[in-house]
Amino acid sequence: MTDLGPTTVAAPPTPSLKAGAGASRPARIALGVLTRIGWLLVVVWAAVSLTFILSRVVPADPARLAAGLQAGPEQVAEVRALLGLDQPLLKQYIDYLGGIATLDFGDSIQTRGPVLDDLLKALPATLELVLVAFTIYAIVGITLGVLWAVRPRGILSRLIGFGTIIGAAVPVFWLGLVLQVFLASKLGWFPISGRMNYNDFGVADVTGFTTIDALLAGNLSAFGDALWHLVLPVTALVASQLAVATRLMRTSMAQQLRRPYVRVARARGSSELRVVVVDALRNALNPVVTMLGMQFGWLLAGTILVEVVFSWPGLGLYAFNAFRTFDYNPILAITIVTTVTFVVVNELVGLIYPILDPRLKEDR
Amino acid sequence: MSDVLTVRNLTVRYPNAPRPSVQGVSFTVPARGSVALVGESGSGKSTTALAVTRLLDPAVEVTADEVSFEGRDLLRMGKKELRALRRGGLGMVFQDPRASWNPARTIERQLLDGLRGAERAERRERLVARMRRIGLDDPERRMRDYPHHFSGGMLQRALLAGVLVHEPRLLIADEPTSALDTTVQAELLALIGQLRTEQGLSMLLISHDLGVVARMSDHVLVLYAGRIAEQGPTSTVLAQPQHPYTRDLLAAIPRLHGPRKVPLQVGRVAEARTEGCPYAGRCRFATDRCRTETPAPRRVGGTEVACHLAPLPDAKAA
Repeated sequence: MTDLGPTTVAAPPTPSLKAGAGASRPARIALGVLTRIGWLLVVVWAAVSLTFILSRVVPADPARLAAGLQAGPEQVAEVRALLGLDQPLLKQYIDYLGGIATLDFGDSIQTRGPVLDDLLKALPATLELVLVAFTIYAIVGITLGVLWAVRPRGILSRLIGFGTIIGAAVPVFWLGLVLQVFLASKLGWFPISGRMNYNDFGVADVTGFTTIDALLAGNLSAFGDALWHLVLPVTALVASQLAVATRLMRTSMAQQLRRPYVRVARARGSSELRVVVVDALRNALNPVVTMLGMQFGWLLAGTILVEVVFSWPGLGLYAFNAFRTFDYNPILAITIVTTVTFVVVNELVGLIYPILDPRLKEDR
Repeated sequence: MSDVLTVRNLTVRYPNAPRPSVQGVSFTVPARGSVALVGESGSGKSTTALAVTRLLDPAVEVTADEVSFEGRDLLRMGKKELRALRRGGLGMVFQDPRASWNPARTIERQLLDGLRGAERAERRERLVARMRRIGLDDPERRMRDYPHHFSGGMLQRALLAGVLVHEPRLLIADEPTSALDTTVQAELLALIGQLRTEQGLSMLLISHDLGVVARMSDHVLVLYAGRIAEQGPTSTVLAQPQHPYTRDLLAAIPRLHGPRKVPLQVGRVAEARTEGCPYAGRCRFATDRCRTETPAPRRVGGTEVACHLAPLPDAKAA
């Protein structure tokens, strides 16, 4: 009775249902969900506070930047009062937290509009980019990793090994620029930058996701154009992270293929495909799923560089411009949005474990 | 053609290994017969079984003059034919029952993977009948459970049922009971024995437990460092061992009564010599000849033994 199940790199989190032992099942699930949401709020609060402190500690004066370089001392003071920056730090902090609770992130110095409006415009663009990249990243990474583990000495495996090292070594913005110069500018195969233009195709902006809006409008040429714009940024984003998923998948899969139950399945006369895909892969995915949750955060961070290179009007580009001009309200808001997305994605990933490992489903 | 399994001059070498794990091993398993491979860890007994059934990694080098199952060449057999054989004539049971099951899939799904032909419902029916015979209560429901709901003994029984449903002619059992506690072990051995007589099954048993070997086999091969030290009818080998290693193995069995016997000499198979007799380093009788010249198998008494010194002066003295 020693070794139970897949030896995994990272142990999947046990569902936090302990608190309500003895209560009915739905009650315990509800309690578990509430606990999770509570933790999510704590994480967001910590991230916001940290960013707030950092934004006030750095040796830059937002009032000075907002007022403009030609402004005199009185004008700067006026702007400072207008922005509330002359208040005590604690009061600024409390006001800020209060604003967030009502989704008021303040105004952007740069766009001179509410940050919330900017976010709602930019977020779909980034989510579209990241979700497409993440899906491709997961599928390609898992596939390559499995192939590598199954035929470790094959030519394909050598290519994968070499390719992932190159991909990991090349900076994402450099790869983006190279793709842009060769495939877009010289060969003209792909658009150089930007997203599908809603006006050009007469498609209504409903969700902010160009692909979905094009499909909603039933406009296939618009859908094609939306995809076409996605190819290069997605490629740059995926290539930069691909080594992580591929290598972990290979290691985990190779580990499973050495386990006795694989030999038993072969001895039973299962086909090799079945042994790899049905038997070993399911157990091997466990640590990879954990890692994919984390990787989502890295892809999100990677969008800053990719969006700048490809002028993709999303959160990354917005963040870049905010950083450059020390526009602190957008910076804080982007931190919150990124944190929430990251935590939520990892919570969703947690739901996959019981599907992969039946032992986690049980509460007997 | 009355032999089910024939192995002649089998040699197995792992990549980068200093010496072959199995060297020049030959034996046959006659129809309805039971042959045992014994030896301590690293003696090459499991490797022999895995090589014969083609379950070793392709990087491992396997050579032999002959490895055949019912006259069919196992080493040169195509993948399809091999799979058909594993789903038919050739059944295997392994050491650790818990590790033998995929923790993420139900018992039923795993066993059905190996079953061919007929409808799924009919295949399931056959499996259920088997499960009932090996003593699983309420098999229809229990088969939908996952391995972690079962005891080790029951997992091994279920594995056996999954193998026997193919109606194999040869069962290869690699330490089938060594991970189980003594009572469960006795039950499982009795079950295997019973099924063997009922189905006319031949068996290749791999074990380090001489008690199990005495009970379950009629011919035994004692392996040391990948070579056959001694082989012969089980009763003869165990009663009148001719090889010093066989004697040491027998003497190492702990007994409740009587004086303590000479324990097995300190040392491990991994340190076995590459020239001369592989056992010379641990042998109490070793001479200079043993250290330089590899002994060839000779017929001495009722057994075939690879030792320069056989017959040993006083068998009882050991």
